[in-house]
Amino acid sequence: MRTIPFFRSSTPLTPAERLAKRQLVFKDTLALLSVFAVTCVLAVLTWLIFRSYSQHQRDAAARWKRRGEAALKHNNADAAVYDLRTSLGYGLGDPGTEVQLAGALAQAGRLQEAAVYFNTLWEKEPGNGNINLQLARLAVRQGQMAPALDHYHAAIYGVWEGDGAIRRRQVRLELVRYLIQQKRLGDARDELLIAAGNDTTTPGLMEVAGMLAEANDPADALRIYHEVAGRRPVEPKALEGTGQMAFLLARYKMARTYLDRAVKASNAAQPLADRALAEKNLQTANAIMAIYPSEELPRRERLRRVLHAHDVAQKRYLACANGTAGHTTTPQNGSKQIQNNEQMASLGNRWQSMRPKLTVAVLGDDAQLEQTTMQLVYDTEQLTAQVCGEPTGEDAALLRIAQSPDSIDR
Amino acid sequence: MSTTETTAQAKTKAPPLPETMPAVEPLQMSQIDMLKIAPTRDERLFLVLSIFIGIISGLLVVSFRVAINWIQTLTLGSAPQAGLLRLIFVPMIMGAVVAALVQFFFPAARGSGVNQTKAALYIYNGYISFKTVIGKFITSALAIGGGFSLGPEDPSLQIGAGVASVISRRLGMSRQRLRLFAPVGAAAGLAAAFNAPIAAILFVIEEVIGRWSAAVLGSVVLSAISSVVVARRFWGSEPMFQIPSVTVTDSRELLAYAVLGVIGGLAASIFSHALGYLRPRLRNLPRWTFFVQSPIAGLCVGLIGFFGFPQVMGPGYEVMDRAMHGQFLWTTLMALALLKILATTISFSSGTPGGMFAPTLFIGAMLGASIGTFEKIHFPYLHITVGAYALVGMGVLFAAFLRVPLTSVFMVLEVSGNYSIILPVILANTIAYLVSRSLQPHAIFEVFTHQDGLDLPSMEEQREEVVLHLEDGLRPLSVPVIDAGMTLSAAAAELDAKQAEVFLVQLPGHAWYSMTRAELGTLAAVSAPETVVASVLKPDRIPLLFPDLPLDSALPHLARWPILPILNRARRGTIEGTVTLADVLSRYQAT
Repeated sequence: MRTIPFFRSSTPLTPAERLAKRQLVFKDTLALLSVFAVTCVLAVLTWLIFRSYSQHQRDAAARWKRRGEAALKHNNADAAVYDLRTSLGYGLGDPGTEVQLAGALAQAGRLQEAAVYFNTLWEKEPGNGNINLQLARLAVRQGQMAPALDHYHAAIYGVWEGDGAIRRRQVRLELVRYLIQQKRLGDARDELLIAAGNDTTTPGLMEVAGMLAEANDPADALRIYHEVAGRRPVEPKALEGTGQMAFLLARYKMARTYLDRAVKASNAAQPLADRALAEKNLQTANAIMAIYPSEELPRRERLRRVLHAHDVAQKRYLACANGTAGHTTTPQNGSKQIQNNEQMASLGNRWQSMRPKLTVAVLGDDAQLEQTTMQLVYDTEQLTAQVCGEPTGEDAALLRIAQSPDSIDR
Repeated sequence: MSTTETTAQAKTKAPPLPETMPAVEPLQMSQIDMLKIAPTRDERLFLVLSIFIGIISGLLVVSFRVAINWIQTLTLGSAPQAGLLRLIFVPMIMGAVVAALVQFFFPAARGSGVNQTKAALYIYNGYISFKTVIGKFITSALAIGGGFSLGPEDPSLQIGAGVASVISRRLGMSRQRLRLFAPVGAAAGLAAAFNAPIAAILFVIEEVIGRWSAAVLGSVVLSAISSVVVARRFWGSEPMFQIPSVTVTDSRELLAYAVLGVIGGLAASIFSHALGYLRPRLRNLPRWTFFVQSPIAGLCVGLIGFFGFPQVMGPGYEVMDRAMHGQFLWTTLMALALLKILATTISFSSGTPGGMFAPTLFIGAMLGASIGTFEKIHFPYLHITVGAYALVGMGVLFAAFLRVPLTSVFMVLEVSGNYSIILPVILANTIAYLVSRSLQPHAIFEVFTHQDGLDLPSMEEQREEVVLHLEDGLRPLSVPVIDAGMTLSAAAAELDAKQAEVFLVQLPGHAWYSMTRAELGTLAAVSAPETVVASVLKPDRIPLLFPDLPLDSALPHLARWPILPILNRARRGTIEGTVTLADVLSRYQAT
């Protein structure tokens, strides 16, 4: 490659011109070196000034951020908004502070500003879990269900820093609470079943089981409580939950077992969620199991209980039919009353068709009679409860059995 | 450094000559033929110095910005908010200090700096004193840091131009080069201030140089890039504003941007008219009032801040960022835009040193964000991004107010680093530019120039100019065309028959020659009648001229040729028409 001299000359130079040229080269070199030196000095000075300035900016941003966070902790949202905004002025583009500021705006009740702010942040990071969660909460506060659900789901499947799995689960449970509040129990149950699979620790499962119960899904709640109740060390609340769910599902035998264990296992360190309810339900379960003619009982004992149930129900029928049950009847319209009267008349016929003298021996000789008797007992308790009001005592226990006779022993 | 100083320095620094050689008497500077001893020196130093100018300008602009921020923090506090009394007093006191400094020490520091740089280029041979650079730095930093509604970009531009002027003078560059250094430094200063080299280069071409100039383009690019590299070393390479990618999925959204363009054009016109009205009136007041104009302007701006809108104080970049992040209601944004117009008009008209760029961007961002927020609330199906509207709003005001449409597009792209926004930007900027031009024929810097009694070239004026072409002056072929192979007698006979005073001669290879009848007669008198015309013609030929060439491109040739054929570009043998000197002059006179 041909090089071009810096000071190219096409014609021969005189000695004086050569001297002038050398002087010019020297002068220009010196001038350029001077400019270079000035540039270096200026660069150092600028660097020193800028370093001090940057440090001040960082300090100021951190100081205002701390003030903002403290204000948020003390529920002083307006002050937090001001402090966090100032912090952002010093540390432009700090995503954490931006989200905090938007949150503070929402906390301060400036929902529209917060929504616009969060939306702008969301546009930058549509997959950001925290931003979606905040947007979901804002939508909840603004009563907008569809965007709330969208953002909750985006938050669950969004990007989280660090503790992603924990945060996703928390968001899912928050979504569940919102769904329960909105009476969308089916959706809530679906989310809870996923949450149960995501965290199989005892506290995690206990939380999910409790929410399943709130979501009117005692069967799944029972399954989870039961699983936890089988773990060591024993969790009294899991025993209590199992007992309560079993009770709700009319699985009184199981309810009795677990409620009894829960009451006995609980202490000051591990109190039950609702001890009074547990004891009451245990008492009810005991009463039911004391009267229920279980298939698991010895035959004679079972027949004796059938006979006893027959007697109790018969008395209940007679009391109700004679209007001496002692319970106030519920107001009814005419057609309903006619229908009840017809049903009572039909029930009376069935009672009259029963053998006048029913004994254990008679029942033992006729397997079909045992079934017919119990069915009559159940129908009597249900109809009299309908006509004469809720029963008490053994009638109440029989009524519970009548409502789901096949689940008692399960 | 003067030429005499240079010579003196050369004398003292010259190396001693060997004793055996005859002593050579050094030449005086005036005796040196620079073109002979160093024909390419200026050109190469120009390029090398452009890099140094870029670096030094970048460093100074970084220091300038830091100084503004420090002053702002120290005087207005780390978090100025409405209701603080200092918001009233600080701008007033700063205004008094700045006014005194400008009146007593730095009179050339007054104003934005763009027109001063342009004047230096066209009137003062590129001269900007070092004192002006210092003065601009100090007074602008005090004013902007003290809360005046002005920006640091235009002063940065002048600081860069001043640095270039000082350095080039020290290097003893030729006068022609000295003049070119001002835009080189201006581009460096602006590029560092904006972190946007392309926009800075285009702005310098559109507004400072006022015309496209290939001679200076290379150096302007070098200096702008150097300064941006330096600035990014300090501020980081992140774009000034960050917004998400913009996708216009619904063509109705372009209509929304068009609305922004119209509103931006109107706002620019209001802003421009306000400045055009107030500035000359304040300048025409008695001289003693110059000492109080800035303090009063500071008081007015301070009152705006005190009574609820401290955001309008200073350049307001962080407020623009907040607007882009949707932190304001659309009503607040609209109020901020209007108050910023008011505050900037007062600040700038008072003669306080400081720039117009940042306020222009601020107003545009507020308008854009306001319209974006409004449309987002009322037209939710449009999927509007507020940040994008704020950004487009900046470009809109830039195009409409400063009348630099090309710069405005690239400025938006560079400050956001987001090229997905280009379609809305071009649409809105064009509409705003057209609206603004229809309401205010002159660009704001041109208005200032005329107010200051100067007359400087402007690209805006060039756009208005009607450029005449040869097709505008040509007339249909009415003279005889003679084949070069004809004999002189035959040619003379044809001319006699047609009574023509001039004629064209067609030569082989689509070459043409024109002459007068008298010239032919002279040739015929000294040649045999059978001589062919081609053999007696002079060796030169008429240059090829086409209808789309500028009309004045014919002028240099009409001294030699009595008539010029204008040829078809595709078929050079075909004459579209002819022009004579009288045709050209009469066409110009008819304009």
